[in-house]
Amino acid sequence: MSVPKTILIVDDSKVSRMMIKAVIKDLQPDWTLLEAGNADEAFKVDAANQINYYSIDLNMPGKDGLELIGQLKKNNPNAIYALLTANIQEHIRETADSLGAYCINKPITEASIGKMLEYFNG
Amino acid sequence: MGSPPVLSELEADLLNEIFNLGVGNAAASLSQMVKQEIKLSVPELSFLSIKELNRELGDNQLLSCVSQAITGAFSAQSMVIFPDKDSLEIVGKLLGENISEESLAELQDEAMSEIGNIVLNACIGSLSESFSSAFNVDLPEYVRSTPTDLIEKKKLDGESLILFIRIELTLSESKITGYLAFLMGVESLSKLHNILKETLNKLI
Amino acid sequence: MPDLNPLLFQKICLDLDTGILALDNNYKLTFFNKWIADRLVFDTENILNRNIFDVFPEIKNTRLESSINDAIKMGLPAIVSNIFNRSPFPLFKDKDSNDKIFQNINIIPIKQDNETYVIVQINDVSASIQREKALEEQARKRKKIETELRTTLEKLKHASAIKSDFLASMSHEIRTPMNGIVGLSQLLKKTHLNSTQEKYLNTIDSSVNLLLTVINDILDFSKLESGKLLLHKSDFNFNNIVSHILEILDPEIKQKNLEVSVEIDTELNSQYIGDENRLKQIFINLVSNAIKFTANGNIGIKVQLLKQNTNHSHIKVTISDNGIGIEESVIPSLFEKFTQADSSTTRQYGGTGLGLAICKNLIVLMGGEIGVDSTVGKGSNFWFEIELEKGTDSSSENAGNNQNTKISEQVFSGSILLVDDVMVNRLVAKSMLEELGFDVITAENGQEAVDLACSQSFKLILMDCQMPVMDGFDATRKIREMEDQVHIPIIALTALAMKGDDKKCYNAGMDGYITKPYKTEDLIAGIQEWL
Repeated sequence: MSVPKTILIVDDSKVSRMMIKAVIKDLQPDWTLLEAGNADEAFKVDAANQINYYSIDLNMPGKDGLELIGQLKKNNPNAIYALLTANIQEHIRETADSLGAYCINKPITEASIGKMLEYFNG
Repeated sequence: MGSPPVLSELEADLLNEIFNLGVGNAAASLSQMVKQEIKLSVPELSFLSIKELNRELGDNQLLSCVSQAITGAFSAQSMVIFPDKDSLEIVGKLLGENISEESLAELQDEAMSEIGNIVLNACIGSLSESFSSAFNVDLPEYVRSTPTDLIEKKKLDGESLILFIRIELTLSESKITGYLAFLMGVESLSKLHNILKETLNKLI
Repeated sequence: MPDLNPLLFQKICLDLDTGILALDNNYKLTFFNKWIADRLVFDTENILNRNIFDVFPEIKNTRLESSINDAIKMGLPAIVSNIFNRSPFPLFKDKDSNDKIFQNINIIPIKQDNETYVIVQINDVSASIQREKALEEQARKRKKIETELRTTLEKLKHASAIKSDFLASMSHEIRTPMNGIVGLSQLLKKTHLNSTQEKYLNTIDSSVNLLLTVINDILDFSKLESGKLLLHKSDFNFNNIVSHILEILDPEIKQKNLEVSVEIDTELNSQYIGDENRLKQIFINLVSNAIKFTANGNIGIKVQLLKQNTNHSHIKVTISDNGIGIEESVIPSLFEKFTQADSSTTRQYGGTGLGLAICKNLIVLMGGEIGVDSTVGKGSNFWFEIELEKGTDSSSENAGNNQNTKISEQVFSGSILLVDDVMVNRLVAKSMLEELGFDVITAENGQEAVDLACSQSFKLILMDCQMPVMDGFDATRKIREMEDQVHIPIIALTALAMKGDDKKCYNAGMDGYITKPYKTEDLIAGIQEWL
C-alpha cells in the first residue's frame, strides 16, 4: 500500500468539508485529513504541516480558490492541487491549467471525490 | 403571522451550499450559451415576511420577474427577480454590441424568461439532487411589475414566508444585484426544514 | 381540465399548426406531427422509436440536449428560444428549401403513471426575426444619418467660427493701415503743394475713398451675413441726412449736370430714433446709383410719412431717376449679392455689386422693406419703408447743421494723451489734434499710458485698444482704479468694429469710441462732448 498522505481540504461550507472528509475516509482511511474554512486559516494549517494534496473550493469569500492555490504553490510547489467548483468555465479551466491544478466538478459525490483521489494517486 | 424557521449552523450551511451549487451551475450554462465570462454568487440568504420582502425590493421599483411553481417534498413559487432597468442591461450585454435599443426592448421579455429559466432550473435541480427528491415544475412565467402587484398576482396570503436570496451577477465588468425568492406557506417551510435535517443526518 | 378522447386528441395534435415531438424517458422519439414532417428534408418513415439524438445528431452539444436531459432526469421544463440558440432542429421552410426556420422551443416534462414523457413544442419565429432585422436596419440607418448630421453641424459651426475670426482680424488688419493712408493724405493736403502734386494727391484721395467704400462694403456685408452687425440708436433728422449726402455727392451731381429735387413731408421735420450712419449709407448707395445710371436729367429724393401711430411713424423713402431703367426679369435678383443689372454695367459703372445687397440687409435688420419699380428707358424708383420711433425734442432739429459748421470753426485747448502703438497712427492723430489747438503727449502702450496718466493731468485720453505690453482695456481699467474724484474721459480709438466691441469698451470703463480709419471731423465729433 502507498504511504499515508496528508490532505488539506479548504471550503467555506462546513457541510461540504464534512462530505468530502466522509468520502475520503471511506476510500483512503489511512490518510490524515486537515481542513480550513478560508484562505487565512489555510495558510496557518499549511505552515504547520507537510501537505501532499490540496482540495480547494473555488467560490470563497475573500481570496478565491485560484488565488489561494497560486500562493500555496509558492511554498509547496511539489504538492498536487485540485480545484472544486460547480461553475467550470473556459477561463477558469485555463487559469487552473496554468497553475497545474485539476478541476473537479461539484456537487460533492462519491464519484466526483473518487475522481479527485484517482488524480492524486497518479 | 408565521415565524421564520431557525436553522442550525449546519442546516444554514447546507442550504447555502445547495444554492451556491445551483447558481454556479447556472453561471456555467449561461457562459456556455453566450460565450462570455459570467460569475454568479450567493452572498446572502434569509427568511422574510411579505412586508419585509416589499421593503427589500423597493416598494415602487419596477421588477423583471421569472417564476416557476414547484411541488414535491415541499411546495413553493420559485422566482428570479431583477430590477427592470438592470434586466435590460443584462440582456444587452449577453446579446453583444450590435443590437439597437429598439430591438433590445422587444427581445427583453423573451430573453429574461430564458435566463430566469436557466437559473431556476439549476437551483431546483440542485435542491432535487441534494435532497434526493424530485419536484414537479411548471413552465416559467414572465411578468414585469412592482413588488406589491407581484405579490398580489401570486396570490400569497399574509402568512407566507419567503426564502430570500440575494445574488450577484458579474458580467463584463458590471455587477448587478438580483434576487432568488422562494415563496412558501408555513407548512412548506417546515417541510423544507425537515428535509434539511434529514439530509444532514445521512451525512453525519 | 376536460377529458379528451385520446384518438381525437391525437388527431388534433397531428394537425396543429405548431411542431410537436414526444419522447419517452429513454430518449426515444414516440410521436411527431404533420407540421414537423412537412419541414424535415429527410425521410421520416423509420424515425419513430429511435433515440432522438440519433435522429437529430445536430442537437447534440447544444442547450437543447442538456435541457432534454434535465427534463427527463429531473422533470425540469425549459425555454430554448431563438435569441440564444440558433435553430437547433434541422427544420426548413419546405422539403426543397435551404432556409432553416428560426425556432422557439418549449420542453415540457409530463408525468404519467410514474413515467416521464417529454413534449417538445417547436414554434416558427422566422417572421418576427425578419421584422427584427428590418427594425435593426432602420435603426442603423437612422444612427448613420444622425452621425452625419452631427458631423455636418460641427463642420458648419467650425466654418462659421473661422469666418468670424477671419472677419475680426481682417477688419483690424485693413483698418489700421487705412487709417495711416487716410490721415496722412489729409495732412499732406494741408501742406504747400504745387499743382501737379495737388492733382496727384487728389487722385490718391479719391482712390483711397473708393477703396474705403469697397472695403467697408465687403466688411459690412460679411458682418451682415454672420449676423454680427450692430445697429446703433440715436436721434437723427431726415433733413440733416439728405443735406449731408447731397454735400458729399455734390461733385458727381455737378459733373453730370443733374437736377435734384427734394421732397420731405413737413410732419417729418422732427427727431427720430435710428442708426443715422447706416441710413446715410443706404441713402448714399441709392442716390449714387441713381446718379451713376442717369446720363442726364433728374433725380428725386422723396421722404413721406405714410402712417402715424402714437409712437411709431411708418416712413417711405423713394429715390427716383430717369436713367436707363431696369429689365423686369433682372429685378428679383437685384438685391442679391454680386448681381448687377448686367456685367457690362460693372465695367462701365464700376462697383462691387454689394451695395444693394447691403441696403437690403440693413433695411431688413431695421425691420423694413425695400424694393424697386422700373421701366426700361424711362427710369427707376428705388424705395424703402421703415417704422421709426419718434425721438426726443425736435427743438434740436438744426443741431446737426450747426454741428457741421461748428466743427471747422472751433478752436480747442488743453492737454490730450494719445496712446497708440503704431507710429503712423500717432503721427496722424497728433497732427490733427495739434492743428485743432491741443497739446498732445503720446504713449506707445497701455503701461506708458498708465504711468503718464498718474503723473500728469489730461483733459482727455485717446486710447488705442490693441497694443502690446498692456492693451487699451487693461490700461483704462487701471486708470479708473487709480482715479480719485476727477473722471478723465477716455475715448477708444479702435479698428474693431464688430458686434460687442462697443460693450468691451464700455465695460473696461471707456466713455466712447471712434472707429478707424477716421478723418479730422470724426475725431472732433468723437471727443467733442467730453471737452
